[in-house]
Amino acid sequence: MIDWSILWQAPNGRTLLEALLLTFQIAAISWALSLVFGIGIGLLREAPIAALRAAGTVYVEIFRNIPLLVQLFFVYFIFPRILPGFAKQALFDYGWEIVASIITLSLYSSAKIAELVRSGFNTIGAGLHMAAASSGLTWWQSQRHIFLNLLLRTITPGLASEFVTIFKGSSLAMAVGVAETTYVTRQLGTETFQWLPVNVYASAVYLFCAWAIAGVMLLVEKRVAIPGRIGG
Amino acid sequence: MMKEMTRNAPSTDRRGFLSAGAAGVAALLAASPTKAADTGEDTLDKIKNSGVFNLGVREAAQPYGFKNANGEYVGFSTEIGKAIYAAVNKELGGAIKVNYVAVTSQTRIPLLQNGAIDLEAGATVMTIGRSKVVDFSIPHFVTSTSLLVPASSPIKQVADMAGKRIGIPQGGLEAALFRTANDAGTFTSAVKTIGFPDHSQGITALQTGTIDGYSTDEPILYDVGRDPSQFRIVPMKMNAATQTLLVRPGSSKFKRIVDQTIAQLCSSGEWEKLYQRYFGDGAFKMPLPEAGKILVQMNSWPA
Repeated sequence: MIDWSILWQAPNGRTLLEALLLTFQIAAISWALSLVFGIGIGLLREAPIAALRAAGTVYVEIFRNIPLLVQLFFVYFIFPRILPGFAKQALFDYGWEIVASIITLSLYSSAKIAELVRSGFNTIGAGLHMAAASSGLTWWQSQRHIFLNLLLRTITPGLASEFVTIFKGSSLAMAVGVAETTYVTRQLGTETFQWLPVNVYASAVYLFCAWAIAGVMLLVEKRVAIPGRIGG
Repeated sequence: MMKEMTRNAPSTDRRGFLSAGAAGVAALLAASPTKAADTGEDTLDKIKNSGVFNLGVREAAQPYGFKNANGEYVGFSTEIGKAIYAAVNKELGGAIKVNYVAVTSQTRIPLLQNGAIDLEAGATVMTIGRSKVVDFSIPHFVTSTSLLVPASSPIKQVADMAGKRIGIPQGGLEAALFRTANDAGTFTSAVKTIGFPDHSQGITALQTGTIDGYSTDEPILYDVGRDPSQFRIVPMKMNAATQTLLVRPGSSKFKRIVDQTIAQLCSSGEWEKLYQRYFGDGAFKMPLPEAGKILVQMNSWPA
């Protein structure tokens, strides 16, 4: 009754592999984008201009507090409507489902990374800030040469767990029809009724990939740890 | 303090992951479906021994199975399930209780296999792949896949779907239908399908112009597309989806009652009354398709 071979029979094996690649693609691009935007927004929240700080706060509060699925539907359904016809068509031809998923994951995760950045700043402490200012560095120079460096090394563990979260969160893309791992395994389950092999496969994929990501990030963490600081 | 917690997180996380993962896989293997199915007990004997008929029904699959305003399970397939319960109860002397268990398209098979339900009365289409895992009753309904488009859509017939973005429900058989048609070169350029978790999201995508059409089981399209100023149904006539009730394998005594009950509903005219109540006049205004008339004739076994 239980037929494990449905996992590698043609064309299922190939479909599952393509789905896995898509899962990685969505997760990796979203993580890279949220890293860039997250640090940018995090810096905004420490900026010397009140309006910029407020803009950063609004961004974080909006995207961190709306459930991911709601954001995804919002982006997926509403965004194409504000585009001119040719741009909309180009987006649809390119694969709007995947793009919408990446945009949503990036918005959400960048808000969380911005919070990490802010707490990183708090960890580094105000004393260093004053020291930088008193040695004549401008705000941007002190960010660029002192804080960003320390900050990235401080928040590495948080970034690692955010990457794992994004990886698992990529399964949400199935809600708008992206044929990633969760979507494809569910489709296979309903077509064959072989739920056990299908669910074991999906669980194993997410589990081992999350471990692998955590393992790699642990190595990175060890390398970049700030000597002399806690646990370093 | 905060930093220390973050730093230590990965190692504890890893151990947690390991044990949680191992426990999860163990639980999955323990729930292995062969166990329940291989006990060899006929479902009829199981019901007799436990005194309970566990009827698997759908909660939100109109008109096949849903909860009405009073919170009761009703629907076309649910009513047939109730008729089968009545027949089983009569056969076993009248002391059997019925217990409704809500199932989804994801849970129906595991619940049937582990004995939580004795019969699934929902909206399940017969396929060769599925027949390897469960037993089917004789078909109790037949539909086909159709297409819903906005009233102003340029899609007038099946061929116009070429190269269009067509929404389908996830976990249905529409994916295989379009895959086969695309592979066979039915369309001048391949139809791109996008699977949505439920019909309402698919319809939203249709209304917002994110997709060009939404394709699924015809009665569902009659339900959501009743406003002709907004939608139009394009008949596809590409398949016939014979629907069945699911029975645990190795239950020939039970299956006999299931099949006889469906046959009696068809020959007594009860089936058409149910059709009219759930698909026809009262609700969807969907005329009984030719295939449905033939099904009733085929199922009307002489006494």
